[in-house]
Amino acid sequence: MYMYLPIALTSVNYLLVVGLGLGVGLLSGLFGVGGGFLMTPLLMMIGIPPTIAAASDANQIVAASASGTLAHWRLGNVDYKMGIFLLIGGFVGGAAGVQLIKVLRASGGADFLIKITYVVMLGVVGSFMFVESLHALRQQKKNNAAGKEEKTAVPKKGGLLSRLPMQIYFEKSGVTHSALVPIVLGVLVGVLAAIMGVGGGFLMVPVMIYMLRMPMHVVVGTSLFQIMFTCIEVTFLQAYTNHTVDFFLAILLLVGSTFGAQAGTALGKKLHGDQLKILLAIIVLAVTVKIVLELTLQPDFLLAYAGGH
Amino acid sequence: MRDFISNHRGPGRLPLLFLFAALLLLWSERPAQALTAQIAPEQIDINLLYHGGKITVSGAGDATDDFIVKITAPDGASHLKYKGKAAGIFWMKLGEITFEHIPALYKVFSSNRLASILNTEALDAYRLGYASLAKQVEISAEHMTPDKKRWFSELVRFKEQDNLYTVQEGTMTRSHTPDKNTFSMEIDWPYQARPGIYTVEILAVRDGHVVDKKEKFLTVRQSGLVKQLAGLAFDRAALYGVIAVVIALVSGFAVGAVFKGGGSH
Repeated sequence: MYMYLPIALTSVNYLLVVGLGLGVGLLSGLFGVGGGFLMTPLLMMIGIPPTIAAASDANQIVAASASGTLAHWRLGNVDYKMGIFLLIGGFVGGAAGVQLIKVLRASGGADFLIKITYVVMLGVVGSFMFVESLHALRQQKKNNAAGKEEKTAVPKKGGLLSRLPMQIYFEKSGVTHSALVPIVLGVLVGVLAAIMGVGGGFLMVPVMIYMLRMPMHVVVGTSLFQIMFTCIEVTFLQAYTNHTVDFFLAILLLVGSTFGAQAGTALGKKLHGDQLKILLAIIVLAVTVKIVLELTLQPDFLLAYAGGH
Repeated sequence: MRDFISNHRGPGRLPLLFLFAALLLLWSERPAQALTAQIAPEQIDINLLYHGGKITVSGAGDATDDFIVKITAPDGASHLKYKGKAAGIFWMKLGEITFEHIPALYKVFSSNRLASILNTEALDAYRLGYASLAKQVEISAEHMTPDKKRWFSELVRFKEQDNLYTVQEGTMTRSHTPDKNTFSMEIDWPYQARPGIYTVEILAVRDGHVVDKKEKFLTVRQSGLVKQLAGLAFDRAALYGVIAVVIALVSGFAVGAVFKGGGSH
């Protein structure tokens, strides 16, 4: 039942870890998020040091997102063109974010700012998605009752964004944007993700839905495609510079998460886009509540291992 | 002749009396049973399915001796984060706190309450019990002047949670015979303890003094796959990173390929 992890220097119940992988992989295939914002705290709860939890999780997300990307690719849900532009922005933003955090840390009080940013971002994104998708679901019910056709989101024309250079039509998503839009949004998400120490899937997904106006199912596939590359970079850098990737831990997690991602994709096919959005919103809000409780209730121990949030 | 004999009878008893007295003295001051001690095993291998281990410390001492077993890692510094209220509202990590001159692992077991068998000076000399350990620790922290007593007790709670610190007084049981007493105790070895060499000290205590001491060493080391992987991660980090990424990608795509039924439309 137990397996020793050579980098984390601790022993874990392998069935439990495979189970965690399965659960978070399911969410990954379902919503297109890496699930780091859920997995890292869960791994810390079973005694994995924070830095090793985050780095090994990135390693397993490579597998889960590869599995999920393949499944979504078969469904025609991956917008590679959009994914690559977001990726370019994400790489630049991530690098800038890492530098920014160094400056913030040196000036002191950065952790407080980071934590607040994290809670506010999660809270705002979760609430907005919840309200919006609830409204959409009600609207759909009304429309169905009235026998009307479902209204599809039509991208706004004639705004400032449409006057930007490098306008490109993204066939898979059925939207036209300047290439600068996904790149700049990618930079913003990259900066925030680096500051908060997360992969950024839960930020990227709403950005694609509401700002790039991509259909939900394409959002999930494209997000996974993008996350796969981000996590390849993170895994390699963490292994090379910080020696924080525990490969055995990653293997246990990916055994669960690769299957979970497939199950999530299959389940996602059965759900409507707005149903998916509202479920993701509920999870994001639940995590927000958990973090707020952690911040306001006195912890059991006033000491902790270094690293992590 | 009779007189001669009677005259010599008195002094003739003396050597016998002396002999008797000497024997009595010898009997009453017989050499105390010397302390003997052993640990088994002397080495713990950390392999893939390792989840901690058990070590047995056993030995014998004189009939009235109390015993103390102390297991320690070498002294070092422990760098941790401390939590407190930021801006008076939120509990969060506020900075680094460093504990110096403390072992990463500290376990003490005794056959009686420490304070009842040794005085404070002796406890401090042998660093027995948390109070003695606290006297040697130095604590420094970012953005605060730490209250030594408070943060040392937080450290003890934190380490006890990981089974790295234990003080169990009066839990060792002894078996008595007229001239010696023996002890044997099984100690759960925590999987949280890092590879390294640990010192096991066994003390015999009599009349308020440590009368004998034995020192044994326990080696905890990684072996097999665990050792190879840890070696690769630190010595050939780039290769390790590439392997980690490639295996993750291959596994992901392989599972994705197996599930092709769930896909095409």
